[in-house]
Amino acid sequence: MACSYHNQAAGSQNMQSGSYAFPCPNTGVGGMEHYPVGMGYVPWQQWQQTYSLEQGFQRGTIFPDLDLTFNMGRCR
Amino acid sequence: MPVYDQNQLLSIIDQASFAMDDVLLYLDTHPCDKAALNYYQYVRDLRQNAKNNYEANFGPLTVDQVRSDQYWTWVQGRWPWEGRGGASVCGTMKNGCSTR
Repeated sequence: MACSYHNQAAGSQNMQSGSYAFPCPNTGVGGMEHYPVGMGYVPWQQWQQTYSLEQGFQRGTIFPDLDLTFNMGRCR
Repeated sequence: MPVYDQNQLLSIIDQASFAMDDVLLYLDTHPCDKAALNYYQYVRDLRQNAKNNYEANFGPLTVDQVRSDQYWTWVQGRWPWEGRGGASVCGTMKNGCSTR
């Protein structure tokens, strides 16, 4: 998770007092209460109706499940 | 198969090649998924037909598809650095971009 989003939160701006709004991630358990903490989990992908060939090519994936919105921006 | 022009065939080959790459990633982790296997066969055949159609009409896409014993048809297409009619330049292919 070495995204600019997290680096920014841990950067020098963190130390400034005043009106800077810290971008806090959602750390709720979100339905994974029964899983041990500290481990990584990747849910099994299930087959689904794929995009059309044209749309898949444009979106970069044929799977609507993997066509996600990345609100935090890209990692560099 | 309906009649396609050169750019339409290249688009089909690009799209089917990408879909084949994507479904093979899925199949690597789901080797028994019949729906995925059906989809793989669908895009593989579509891609192969489009490639055959293209190469019969517009020349080889890959260097192992030169058919003529009279002329080295590989030199007829654009070189990778010549782009695709002003579009982006891709490597490895004479005429197309993402085909393997």
